[in-house]
Amino acid sequence: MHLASQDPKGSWGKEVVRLIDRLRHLSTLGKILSIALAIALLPWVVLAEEDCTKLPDLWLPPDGTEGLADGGISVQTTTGDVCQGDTVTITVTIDNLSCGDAGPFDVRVYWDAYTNIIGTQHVDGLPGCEFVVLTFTWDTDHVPTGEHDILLCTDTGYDVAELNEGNNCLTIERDLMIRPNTPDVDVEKVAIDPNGGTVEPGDTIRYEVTITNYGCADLEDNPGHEFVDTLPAGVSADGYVTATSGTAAVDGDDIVWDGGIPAGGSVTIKYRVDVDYGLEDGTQICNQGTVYWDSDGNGSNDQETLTDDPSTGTEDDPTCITVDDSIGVPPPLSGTIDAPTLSEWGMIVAGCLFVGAFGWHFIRRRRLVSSTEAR
Amino acid sequence: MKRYVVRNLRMIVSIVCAVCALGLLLWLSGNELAMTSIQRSLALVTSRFLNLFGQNTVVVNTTVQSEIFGISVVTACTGLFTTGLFVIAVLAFPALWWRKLVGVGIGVFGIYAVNVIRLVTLYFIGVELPGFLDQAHQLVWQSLLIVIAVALWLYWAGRWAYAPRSTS
Repeated sequence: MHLASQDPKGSWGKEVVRLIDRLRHLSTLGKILSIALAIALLPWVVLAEEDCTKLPDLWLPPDGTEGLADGGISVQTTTGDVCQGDTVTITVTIDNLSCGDAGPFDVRVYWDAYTNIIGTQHVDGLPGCEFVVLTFTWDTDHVPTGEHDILLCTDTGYDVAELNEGNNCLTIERDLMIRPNTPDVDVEKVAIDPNGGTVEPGDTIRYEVTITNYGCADLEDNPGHEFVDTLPAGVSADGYVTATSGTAAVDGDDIVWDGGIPAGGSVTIKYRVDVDYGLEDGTQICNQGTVYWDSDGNGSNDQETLTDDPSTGTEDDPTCITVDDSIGVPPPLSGTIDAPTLSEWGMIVAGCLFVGAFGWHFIRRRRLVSSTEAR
Repeated sequence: MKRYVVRNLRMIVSIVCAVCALGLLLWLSGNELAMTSIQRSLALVTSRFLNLFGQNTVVVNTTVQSEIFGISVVTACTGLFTTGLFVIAVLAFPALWWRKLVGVGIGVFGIYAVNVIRLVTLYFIGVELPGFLDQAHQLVWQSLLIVIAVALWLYWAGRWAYAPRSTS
């Protein structure tokens, strides 16, 4: 527990005023002296504070609030995400906003709801303008896994009459994650157009899939693929596929990945697809990949998790791209012929070069044969 | 007509063979099993070469994969079209049959070897200079492969194809 010291300027002022008051009551000389002293020590007299008659005001300043007594900064934090069964340390700062002293009171910490008590501590009192820092420990052995809110409340028994009773509780800003002692998978998939702008027919799109193992047990590389993304109609793999670990590959219309992920680790799989030519303006191409994983550690993948597009607010939704063919393309008169791709241009050039080379040698040969026959 | 056919029999047979080669090329490009076999063979040979350079790659289906990078051999990467053009040009050219066979061998094995070199270098570019991979893949190596294929054909035509009538 830490208590901040009082403001020294206010104390000095009070002492000066008391001294002048004593001199004033002595004699005429004392009165004259007191007036002279009051003028000479005017700055300190001005600084003198009246004795506080206000009620105290306990509150929980948000984490990082500056300007507490003695240059203090509030701390409202936890030690961070843990595995189920580990201990979390929670630090709480209670400040007395008013100059009035507060009597004894209780501070309590909860998780998720005011019925789930983590712990209660008693504070004997808190002088005006001072703050106190408390530390709680929380055994998460029987706490459900997942994200939890940590709620803090001071003066839970309403023992202190306060100026403001409505600022006695605070929720710690960052949720606390209690991770299971098994693997736990979260997977996100985003579509990126490397050229930027809108997705046009013929564009190359890069998908990035990030699989994270939030659990406290390693995700093993079991028989079968750990990730499969079947490409939808309208796109085709261009052959580029890579992963930060494990083995990623193109298998027909599927992008597949095999590998393990250590507890708390993640893997990012990147692959590129070409958007087909001839797609109509506004065509939406959506799909989801699936992660297959082992939830009970028996060596076979028994759970499936679909990819989520993090750019939308919806959970577990497919990743979509919308083809925009409206910019810079003149309206077709009676059907259009798509311009050749770079590969097709390569084939056209190769064909022309072979025809040219063939023709040149053919003519040269005929001339040679003719001249031989003439001789 | 009969006389014309007899006089130009060698030429007609050459053209028929070239057309057959074109048909074979079209059939191959549409046959998934054949294409997968070609792609996988390229991937296996490329992986073998990369492992000689200490890359520890494995082949998964048609993808050459290491811990840090992977390249997938797709239909366009096989050089099948270029090889097909080469073979058609060899078969259609008036030359002795054994010389045409030499030409087909030069084309098939030469372009295959260049393609393996292409894949090996693209792998290293992907590892060391990933920002240059697209240009190297689509512009530099595509152009190089075409130029090398045409140069090989010109070499064959100049060195092997000419056959004096008296020897045939």
